Amino acid sequence: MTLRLCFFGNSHIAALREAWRTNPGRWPEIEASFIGAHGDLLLQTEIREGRLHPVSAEAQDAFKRLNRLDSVDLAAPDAIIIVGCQMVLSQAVAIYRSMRWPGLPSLARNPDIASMKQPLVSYSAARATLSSVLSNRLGPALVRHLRPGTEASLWMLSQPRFSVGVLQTQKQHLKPYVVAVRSGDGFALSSLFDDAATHAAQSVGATFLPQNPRTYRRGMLTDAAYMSGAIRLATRQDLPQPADDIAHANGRYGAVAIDQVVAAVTGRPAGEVPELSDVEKGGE
Amino acid sequence: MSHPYESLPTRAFWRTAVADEDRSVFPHLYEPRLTLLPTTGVATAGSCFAQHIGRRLRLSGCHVLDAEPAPDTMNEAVAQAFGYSLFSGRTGNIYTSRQLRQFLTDVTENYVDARYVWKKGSAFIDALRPTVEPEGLSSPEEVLLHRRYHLERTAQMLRNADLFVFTLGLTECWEDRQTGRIFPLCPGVAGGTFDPEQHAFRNLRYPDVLQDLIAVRELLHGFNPAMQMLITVSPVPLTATVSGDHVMTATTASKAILRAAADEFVKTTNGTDYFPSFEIITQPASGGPWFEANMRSVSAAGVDKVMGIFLAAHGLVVAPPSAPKTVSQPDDNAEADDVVCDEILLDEFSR
Repeated sequence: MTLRLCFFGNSHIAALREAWRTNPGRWPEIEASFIGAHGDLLLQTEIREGRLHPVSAEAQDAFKRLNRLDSVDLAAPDAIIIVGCQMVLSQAVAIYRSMRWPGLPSLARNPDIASMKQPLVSYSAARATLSSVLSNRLGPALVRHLRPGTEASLWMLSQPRFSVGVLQTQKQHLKPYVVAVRSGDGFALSSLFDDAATHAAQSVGATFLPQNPRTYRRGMLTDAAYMSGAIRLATRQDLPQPADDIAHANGRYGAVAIDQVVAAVTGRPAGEVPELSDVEKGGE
Repeated sequence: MSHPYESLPTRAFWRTAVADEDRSVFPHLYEPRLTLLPTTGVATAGSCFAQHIGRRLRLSGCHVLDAEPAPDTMNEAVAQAFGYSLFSGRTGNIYTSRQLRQFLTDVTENYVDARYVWKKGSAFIDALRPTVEPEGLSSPEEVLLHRRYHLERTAQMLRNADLFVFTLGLTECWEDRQTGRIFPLCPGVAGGTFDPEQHAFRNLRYPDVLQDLIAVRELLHGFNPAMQMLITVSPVPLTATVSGDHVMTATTASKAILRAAADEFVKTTNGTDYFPSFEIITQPASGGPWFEANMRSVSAAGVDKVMGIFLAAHGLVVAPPSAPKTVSQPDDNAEADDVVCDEILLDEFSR
């Protein structure tokens, strides 16, 4: 039996749509549809008679231009997957700027914790803080928005972590990434994020799907092989992202993500992700 | 024929000070001996009623110190659940003079006693502040790490404190028979296991409380020799008593001991004062009733009255309570003003 999956997402849905377009036949067990819109346009919608209708002019334009749809039948899919939508590690990095918790390697090395600039909190306090933040982001908001109109299972797929290119950036607001990576705190940050996102998703009745760790580098960044060549969520499906884009993944990443979704939704083990060649690992 | 009563001020006579007075403001009820300015570094500790004092002082622009402020990314609901911003450190409720004395001794000596870690399910909690980590911690070592941090941060805070406000709550407590260590909650209530061979009921008497307060003052002067102390007695009745008396009788006895010890302490020391929050809430002459329907929780109006009188006496602006940053689900049975009262855990055993 073929499962009908409906992917909703912001700009990060482009990677999955690209993977679906360029890998015909890779997922014979599913039928997939992709509804993307920038920002919070997916919330500028309403459910009428089991269908999701855009209500603002911008949302109507996004539905038509990006998806060639006037509305979406919410009764049709067996599962709805929310892609990206601010379920992203950068929320954890913001937390990291303001507190430290046991499990961070940098904390274990600090001989004078009481004099730290950031207060020491417990892991569960850090997780509760982050979960509270994530619960108010676009992904959970969209789940709450869609839930009354569907009986499909609801899933939230992690937005990709930033590219390893973040280590070369001079942008001040990205410096905490550099600090976290160089302090060896990347894996612990990733772990906190996945844990908090799982709690946030559960709080709205959805299941969180974390980023596949095989696509990580340095614990909290995405390998360049999964980021370079990303395309935009646009009418033209070959429009590349700007060269300095560190946030969006490519079709290869999208394929890994769809593999992961299919495995989760069908309940079968996830397929092996092909190992990267040494050349592809060069981004680290 | 002349006598001493002739020259007494109006506040000394019941008729002029109470019966005929404007009891909504009680203008002469509290005449501070201590100075409280917006720049005064204030530290607060005590039972659950003390949370009102710290919160209202902050709202009124007072410089309330916080050894462990909540991170700025933590919303108010999470912060409160994890014991932040309730007092001038994550002490949890300090109900008794003995608990405060032992706590300040630990702070002074930076002494972390590894014996006082309790199991709570598969987690571990600090027996000396058992409710500040609602999910517990992953190991005894982590409990001790957090306690050491707590003690060190408190020491740093106390060095900047000009005024220490302490609200006496109870005389009844539980102690470790071997060491005399007082627990904020009976072992087994919020974690740990009650063992009658190890844990003994202790009901502090007047000399105990007085000696504790004197010792506390000395300990505080170790951080700042000029630090002053303001004592209050919580008007909140006991949730439960192990004394064998009726809980109302036990409450009266407990509060009488605390009130008498506070009086003796303030009358015999310099740099100390007493604020009559207990009287304002419990005296029929002050109006009211100032309790919620359970006749235990002080109503928001009662807190307003208490803090209004306090702040006005110090020439400070009375500020209304503000809404929390993030409002949790409303609860018809919520304790007034979102106070975290660990002792209420005992109420679970009354059914």
